[in-house]
Amino acid sequence: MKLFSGLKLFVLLGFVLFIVSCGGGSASSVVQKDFKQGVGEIEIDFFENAPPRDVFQKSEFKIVPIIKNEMGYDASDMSVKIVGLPEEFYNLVRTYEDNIFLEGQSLTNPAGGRYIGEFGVQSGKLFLSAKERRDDFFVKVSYKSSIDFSETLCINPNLYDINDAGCKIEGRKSYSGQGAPLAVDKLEGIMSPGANPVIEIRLKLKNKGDGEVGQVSLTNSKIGGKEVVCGFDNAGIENKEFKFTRDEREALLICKMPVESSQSYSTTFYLSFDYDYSFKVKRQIRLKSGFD
Amino acid sequence: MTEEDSNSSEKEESKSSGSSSGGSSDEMSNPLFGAILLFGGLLVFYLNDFVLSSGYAFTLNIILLIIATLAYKHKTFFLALTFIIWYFLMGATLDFYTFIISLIIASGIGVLGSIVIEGISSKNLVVGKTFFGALGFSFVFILQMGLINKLLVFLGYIPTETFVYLLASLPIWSLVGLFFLDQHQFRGRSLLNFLLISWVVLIVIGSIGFSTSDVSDSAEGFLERSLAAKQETEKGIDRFSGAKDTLSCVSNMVFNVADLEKESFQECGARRKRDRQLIASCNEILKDQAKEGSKVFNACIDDQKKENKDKSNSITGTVDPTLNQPMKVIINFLNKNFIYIEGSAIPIEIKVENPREVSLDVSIYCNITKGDEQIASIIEGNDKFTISNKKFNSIVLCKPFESDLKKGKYKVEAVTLIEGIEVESHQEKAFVGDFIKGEKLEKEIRESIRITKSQSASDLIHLIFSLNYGDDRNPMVFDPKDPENFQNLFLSAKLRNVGGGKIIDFKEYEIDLPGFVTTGSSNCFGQSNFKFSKKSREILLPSCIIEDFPNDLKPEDEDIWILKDLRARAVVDYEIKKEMGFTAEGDEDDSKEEGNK
Repeated sequence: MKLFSGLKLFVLLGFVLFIVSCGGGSASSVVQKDFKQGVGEIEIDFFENAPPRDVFQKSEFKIVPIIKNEMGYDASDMSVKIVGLPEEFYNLVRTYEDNIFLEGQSLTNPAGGRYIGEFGVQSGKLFLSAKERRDDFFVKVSYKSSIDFSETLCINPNLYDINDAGCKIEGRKSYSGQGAPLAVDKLEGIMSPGANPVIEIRLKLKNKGDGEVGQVSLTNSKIGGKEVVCGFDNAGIENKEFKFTRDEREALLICKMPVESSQSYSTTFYLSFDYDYSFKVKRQIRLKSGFD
Repeated sequence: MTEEDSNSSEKEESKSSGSSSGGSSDEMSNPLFGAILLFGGLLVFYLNDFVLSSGYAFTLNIILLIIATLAYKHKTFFLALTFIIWYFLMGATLDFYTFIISLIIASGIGVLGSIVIEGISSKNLVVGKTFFGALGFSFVFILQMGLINKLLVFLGYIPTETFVYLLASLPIWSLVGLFFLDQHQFRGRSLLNFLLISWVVLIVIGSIGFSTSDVSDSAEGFLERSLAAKQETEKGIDRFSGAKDTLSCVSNMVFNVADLEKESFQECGARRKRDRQLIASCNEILKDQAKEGSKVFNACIDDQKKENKDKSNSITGTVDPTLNQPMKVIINFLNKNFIYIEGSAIPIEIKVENPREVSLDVSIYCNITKGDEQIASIIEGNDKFTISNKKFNSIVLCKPFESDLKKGKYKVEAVTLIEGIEVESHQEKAFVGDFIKGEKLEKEIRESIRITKSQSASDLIHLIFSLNYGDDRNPMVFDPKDPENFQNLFLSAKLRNVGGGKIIDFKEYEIDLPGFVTTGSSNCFGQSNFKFSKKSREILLPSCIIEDFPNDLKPEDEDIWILKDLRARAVVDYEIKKEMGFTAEGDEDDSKEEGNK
């Protein structure tokens, strides 16, 4: 029995270590995975030993970021910049690479697009007879992308009609994401019944990523194939653009449409947005005069 | 689990509880896991210091959390597993409310899970203990990762330096491991209890000390402070000084009631902290060149006080931590009770510690005086040498040039002149471009530039310079031509004499800012043969307002800033003197003899 308990503990421990080592990586099959669900982001990794942890004076080394698109959408106009290395100690051949396009994850490209950057660096001389110095630097990535959102809505202008056996209006709905860092987080439909019934749909857009969302533009808004008037709340109903900031990570979008039918019906609500996004990762280099 | 299994484990449990003195210790006794935790905890503690960012410490921390939950008998493992899943799969947001809510949800799922797996029985449905275990171990995990700061800031408590240090100095997992060691196998439990109580008492004393106001509310900030606290202790700075201040001010309140009229408890704390900071600044500036209480040290304290008062001249440099071995020039009279007899000479030892192997042209001469009378004297032996080694030692002899000394009391002054000492300093600045970018980039710039002041090597003289807007701690420089930027960019510099001697000639200085344009005199960038007062230990150099600088230091891209390590250098002649009295046993002084006649 004791042996069995011990075995059980080791199996459980192994399972946990497996989870830890996977780091949340996808275990689901391609067929099962909906690339436009959850929070997907662009990830940065570094080629082994590029940059090295320690570099010596007057030597050459490379910073090689590997950029992976783990979103369900393409990323365009991407730029990768190296910021924060003092020129007196590190001479970079170039500090940025731009005009990068990375395909999003899809059934035909389940891994998503990848880009390997290469920044050559020549290290300089330490100040006076210093033995070493440590420098933090940032790899900054910015790009443009888009998100799509679709939902089936119930439009019921006869809220009080108990004989209408059509669809039922759902209350507030929450979403985990649409496969990008910017996501429609919540949706709420408010029906104003009467002689001229109007449906108002309130959506909360949220930055669920680690980086910063910049300008967001509503590019498409349709209910049942018809254009619907939408606008960001703080800027007026007609305003289709909103600027996120570091502190402002949410925005309210309101869509309004007069309801022509007198009976309840289900229809498709579709939105798409373009947005700018930027994020950074920090690394450290130790410049040494020689071996310890 | 079958009925038979549960019966046998119940029997085992009752057996072990019978053998131990208390139920609670039995619940926690598992010597194997205890030992793993004890040594693993020390390993995490070590790794937290040296490879904090590598993630090894983090992974080990997770493994120790799992081991702790396995060692605990109340099915805590499932809860901790849920916590780990939350941590890795749910993004582990550090937002305080999300964190607490997620933890509660995770714990709830864990309880349900353990009921589903084990079934409801009186033995395993000890929900309270299960929660206690899960939350307790998770809390230890948070403590070790340094995330407690969120909680402290949420509660409106700003941790004191002592509190931060005490938390940072505790290998917490090892303590948990000690608790798991069997009471009968490990006889040091009472010592452990004593240590634990002492630690809690110290935390309480430390936490009622005087808070620092510059605490960041991020978990990473706390972790950085914890590490800084440890590093400062390694440098010899007393981290318990806050607690000592508290105790001293409390004792003042109790025993010296009269003093209370002069100074409140808060004022007492503030005064002691101010005094400590002055001593720490001078220790930092002078290194081992002068001891606390010495003339040079007191002069430094006065300078620091003056500097604090005179904020318009508040550029305060610091010693580059990578160049903190002090340069020393020491003169020793080898025979302290020297008595001159005909033909003898005074032996003088010259010791130079030159850790940066700077080339120093040193010459030595001596002066013998009797009252106001100068007696021509010479150095016997090599009196001029160029030093470029780390250490240099030489002995020279000083004696009268011509005649022997008459009987009487004399003074000898040994003088070491170092010609053309070159001192250099540097300051890191972030050139941002437009003023509006500053708000967005400030956080990352401050993460990158940890020392904002000008940094000098620990030489006899420090060249301190600053390019700033009136606040030396701001590392950012904006485009002076930006219409949104109304601040004047000010360049100032001074030479500070921290050695025991005098600057006798200031040959030149240069602040290397190519392409910088000033509205005033360009002397602020450098000049030769600078006239100065030899009495002052600080020589103020010309300052100026910067009107413009090169366009390549004005990045337009909103993500880009340029880090420059600005350099300055000065060349001076420096003199160090030391004197000693001695007696001569020659013939009687003629003038005296005549007078006597």
